[in-house]
Amino acid sequence: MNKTAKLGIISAAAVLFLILPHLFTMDYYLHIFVMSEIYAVLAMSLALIVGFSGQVSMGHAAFYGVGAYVSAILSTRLGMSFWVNFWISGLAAGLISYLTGRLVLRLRGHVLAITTAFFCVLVNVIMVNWIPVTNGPMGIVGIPRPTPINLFGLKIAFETRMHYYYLGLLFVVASAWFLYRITTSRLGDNLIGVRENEELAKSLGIDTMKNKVFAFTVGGAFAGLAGSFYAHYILFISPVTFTIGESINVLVMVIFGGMSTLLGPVFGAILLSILPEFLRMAGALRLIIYGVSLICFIIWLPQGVWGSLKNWWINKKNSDSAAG
Amino acid sequence: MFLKVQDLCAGYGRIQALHNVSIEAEKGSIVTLIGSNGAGKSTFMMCLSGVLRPTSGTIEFDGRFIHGLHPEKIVAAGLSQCPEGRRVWPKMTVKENLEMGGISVKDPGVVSERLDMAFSNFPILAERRNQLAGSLSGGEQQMLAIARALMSGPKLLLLDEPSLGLAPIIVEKVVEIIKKIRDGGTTVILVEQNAFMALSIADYAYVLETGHVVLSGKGSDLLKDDSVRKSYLGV
Ligand SMILES: Nc1ncnc2c1ncn2[C@@H]1O[C@H](COP(=O)(O)OP(=O)(O)O)[C@@H](O)[C@H]1O
Ligand SMILES: [Mg+2]
Repeated sequence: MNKTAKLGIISAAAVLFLILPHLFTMDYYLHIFVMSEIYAVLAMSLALIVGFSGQVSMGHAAFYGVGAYVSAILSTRLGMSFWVNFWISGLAAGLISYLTGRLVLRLRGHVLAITTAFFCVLVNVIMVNWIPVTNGPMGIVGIPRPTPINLFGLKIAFETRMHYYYLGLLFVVASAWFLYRITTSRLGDNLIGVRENEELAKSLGIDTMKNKVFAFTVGGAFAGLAGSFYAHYILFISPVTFTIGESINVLVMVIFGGMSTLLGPVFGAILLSILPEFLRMAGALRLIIYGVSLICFIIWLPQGVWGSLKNWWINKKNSDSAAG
Repeated sequence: MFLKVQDLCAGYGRIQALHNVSIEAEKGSIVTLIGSNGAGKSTFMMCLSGVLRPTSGTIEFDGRFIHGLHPEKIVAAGLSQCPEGRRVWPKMTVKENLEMGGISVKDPGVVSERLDMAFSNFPILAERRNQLAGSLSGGEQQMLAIARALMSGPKLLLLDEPSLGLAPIIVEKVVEIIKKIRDGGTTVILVEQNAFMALSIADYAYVLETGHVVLSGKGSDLLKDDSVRKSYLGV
């Protein structure tokens, strides 16, 4: 693809996402869009761990939950604002994910997957049982919206979903940019090197553990940021949101979209946030259709929708240039 | 002694692959380990580079004990391994592969210096620097793997079967490169199934059988040794 075509596609996408909430103004749609944004960040950050560093984690919802609870507790107990809580949530989730990573990343394959799944369960058990802090199964209510901001004289009070949509869009773009910078840096090369051939990477003096822990920490921190955004958007959180089911949900988005890219997971997050809503029309058959279509996708497009498109494009370009 | 390995034992779970292996290498020499498939040659190399932890024994390198250190510490100490099987990252470019070899070098100026050096020593790699490593021929991939191992500026280079699967004419090229590396002051440990090639260029050689050193001597002497000729040279 040449530069102008690329620029064209990017600007078209930018325009589309900027006017989208004005095309679909119903609250119901806007809610799906905002949730897609949250899932987009969750999926991208999990892709860094699963796709780029090659470590299958089923614990992502735990870090998402830590972020949400830190924000909820800080705002309801100490009256702190979203604008501060957001960063603290990211740091807290990052710290916990660093410590967890140090502990579990010496495991590999399905043992790692199962251990991270247990970790997710453990965090959930803490949310349910540490009642003085988390308020247990009742959850935390009355989380305040972000305090209003003044944008060039325009007051944004986050009283409509539209406002959240644009804040979320900024969140997604900034996260994508940051993660993109990581994956294209030398660090990103190291991650891929470790994923593709760990023994070789080790023999060249790459600290494979450090690389894996790094990806796990950054991924966890972004999940924490997403959790904070979620808490200050839904305004109520409880342990049922942060279960292993949610981890799997995000993992499916990553696999579905294509895990060794960043755009793939975003694509997967958007599609899999919208698709189930469409299938609502099918009533009871909804989950069956959803499940079967996922299985079909994974069988026939193992590199994910985005990964397959990308490969198709590259092959086409190669055969074109070979023919021409 | 520059490298002194004493009574090294190592294995995989319950399988013991090395039994009290002791070898020595003088600075600036080529020392080779020959032996048939499964003798434990690669296991030995993995222990030296720290990828595999020996169960007992000592490895003294350049005045320091390095057994039990993490691989990145060992690379930093000046030991670099070129593993068996032409291992490159096929989906990375030649240049990216080389840069991975310089990971332990903190100074980016030194990395780019070494990159230039690699390209001038291996012109074929310079030509293909932006090509994916997977698209190189077998011989070119082997050159890349060797060049990559040199990126860390090692004092001791471990080469595990560099001639494996290469056409004789390419093997000759590899031999030239190994000699050149030694002449540059880098000590080389060469592991080979191609015993003739290895013994021809080695200053000293060890024969490994099922994890035991059964014979050692000057390369030129082993070339004349009857049992070696029978078992490894097929004459
Ligand atoms: N990853 C491994 N797991 C279990 N056994 C192994 C492994 N690698 C090598 N071995 C065994 O260790 C012994 C020595 O193997 P190796 O060092 O690869 O020999 P060589 O390099 O001389 O062909 C062999 O019996 C082999 O089967
Ligand atoms: Mg071997």
